[in-house]
Amino acid sequence: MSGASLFRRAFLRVAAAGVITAAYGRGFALAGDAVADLMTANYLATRVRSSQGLAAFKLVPPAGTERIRRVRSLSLLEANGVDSRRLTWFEGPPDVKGMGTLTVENAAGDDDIWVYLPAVRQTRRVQAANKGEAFLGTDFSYGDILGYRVAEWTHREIGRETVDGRETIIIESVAASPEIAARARHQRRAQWIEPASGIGYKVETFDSQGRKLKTFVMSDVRRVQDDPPRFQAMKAVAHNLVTNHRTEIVFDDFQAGLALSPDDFSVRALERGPR
Amino acid sequence: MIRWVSAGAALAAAAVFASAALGADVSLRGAGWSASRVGPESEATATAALWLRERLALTPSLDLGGEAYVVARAPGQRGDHATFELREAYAAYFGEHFDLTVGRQLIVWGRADRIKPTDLASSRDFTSLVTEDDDQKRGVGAVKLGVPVGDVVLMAYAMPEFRAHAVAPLPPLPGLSVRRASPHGAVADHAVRLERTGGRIDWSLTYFGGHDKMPMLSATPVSLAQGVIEERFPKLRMFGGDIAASVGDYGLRAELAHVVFDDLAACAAPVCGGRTSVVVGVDRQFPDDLYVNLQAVLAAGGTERAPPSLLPELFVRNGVLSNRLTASEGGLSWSVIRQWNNQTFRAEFSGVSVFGRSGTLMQARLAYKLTDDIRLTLGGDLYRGKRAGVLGARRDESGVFLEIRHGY
Repeated sequence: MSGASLFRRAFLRVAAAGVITAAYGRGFALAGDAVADLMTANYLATRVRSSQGLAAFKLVPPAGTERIRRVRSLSLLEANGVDSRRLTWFEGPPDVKGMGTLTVENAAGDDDIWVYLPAVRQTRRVQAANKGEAFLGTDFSYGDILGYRVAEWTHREIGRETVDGRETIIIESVAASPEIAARARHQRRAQWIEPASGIGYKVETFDSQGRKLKTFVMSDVRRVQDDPPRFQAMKAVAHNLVTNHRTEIVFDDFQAGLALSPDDFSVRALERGPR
Repeated sequence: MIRWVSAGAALAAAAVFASAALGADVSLRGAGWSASRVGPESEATATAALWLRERLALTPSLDLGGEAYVVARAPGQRGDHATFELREAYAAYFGEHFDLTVGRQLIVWGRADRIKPTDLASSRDFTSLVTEDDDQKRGVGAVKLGVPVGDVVLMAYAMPEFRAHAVAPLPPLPGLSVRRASPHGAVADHAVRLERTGGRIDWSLTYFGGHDKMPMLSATPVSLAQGVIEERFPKLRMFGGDIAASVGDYGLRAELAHVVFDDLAACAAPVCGGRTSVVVGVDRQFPDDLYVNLQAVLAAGGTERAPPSLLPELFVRNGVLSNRLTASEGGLSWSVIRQWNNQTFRAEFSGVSVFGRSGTLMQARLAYKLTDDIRLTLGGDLYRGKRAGVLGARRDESGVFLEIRHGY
């Protein structure tokens, strides 16, 4: 990419953020383009160039014993600034310890996913799950973690609210087609987005009958990369209102800006385990 | 009873020591079985097992790994006994230009689901009472060298250790005993594999030269005069390959192996000579944690032989164990897995049905996680078919089990 092109992209991004912030400050409802820009900012807000993290997934059933999955991960953003390569290893509990996944996102099609199964000492290609499928057995779906493509949803502003001391714009997103709704496993969602960062602090999803399916609350959001600014919620809680099951993801450690290369995201690396 | 309780206490003590002092992963497993797999007169039994697994990163490029288990079987008509198995004990070096693994290791080949015709390197203990088929696999002493060449990895294997499949013993034949005729000591089994895992399509090509792990029993006038049935493990060569890809919502898998015996005279089964096995399948992940896999299984080739006049039952047994009863056969395999409550409860129904006289195996597993560490599994295997069939011959092994497991 040429220097002029890079400058143009950076200028447009800054300009778009400025328009959104200015409109918000004046109390205007965002126009269509501005809403799309805000959703694009939201889509990109957590896409750091590279990262490593250590997180605990706490699964809380309505009754019974909590379960905790400990996960170590690496990520690297592709040159297109949208797709990532991700390595994830389970460090516990015992029945999944050593298991790992390699995901190569592909915005233009299905992701490529491989799973390393220590019980059989083998790596297996698995089908890219629908965006609506549960992410590693949690109440988050793959779409909730990786984001939904902006162009596949129709967005509009439906209000403004303060969440956890932050001024947010509430954006309603409706699936552009029944197929997209079916894959996402929800018809509509509302997101409380902070304009300056693009971070969604709260999300609610609904089915086609308007029934609320899940709520998500993000907290302890930290700026983990400066140029361009990127953020990470250190805690995220999903509540499935249908099953009354909850999942809490808490990062014990998260670092961005590591010197990683595509070669670090191979099946060979997956099978070696975290170094 | 006292000995049984003592064994349990010893296992628990060993588990605590291994976990606390060595940092190893520990799995304690207790199970009751309605039928064992040690012989035709199968009987109910109970087992207690301790599994240990460790992978220690000594440096960023050097690992030590291993896994072992001991299983104690409850007293029964065939007596009680304990089995120890060192599945793996290896050192692995991960370099910039090559990887090297030395020691006993599990070698697994093939991208088909469960039925893997190319997977000839490691042996299995078919008599072991385990709830998951993959736990039957046993490591083999080997040196594995992996060299990345662009997008592919070239792997070379030397496997000097020979470990035969463990199968149910031959029913006693008056005045006769079984003696291994070959191989003895170190062997020169070897393999070369070219593998690509990545991009849109995964594939591999494999050549294996070595001994069949399945015993072939034969009786000659000379051996019978000595009161001996000879157990041989013929040398064979395998040329194989596999492929896996995603097409839309579906996964496609295929695996092919062509096996030829170096010495046809060493083959004492109803069908000998070159034989090609193919598995072609499709799988899909449906909503709500439902996974379905369907595969077609085909095997063809070789020439049929008339049974010998001396102990023809050995001839049939060899064909059953080596799946060399008919010149061609086909069948289907399936696997349906559903999970509920955030993967707390899992149900699996799988099986294989081979048309003709080979028979059918159906397996069901229901697993419930009581906690992160404790899992309860209820399962059963049902074999059907004619006694002279590959699967029907194992009808006495049909049964159910209940296992409680702590750890992995």
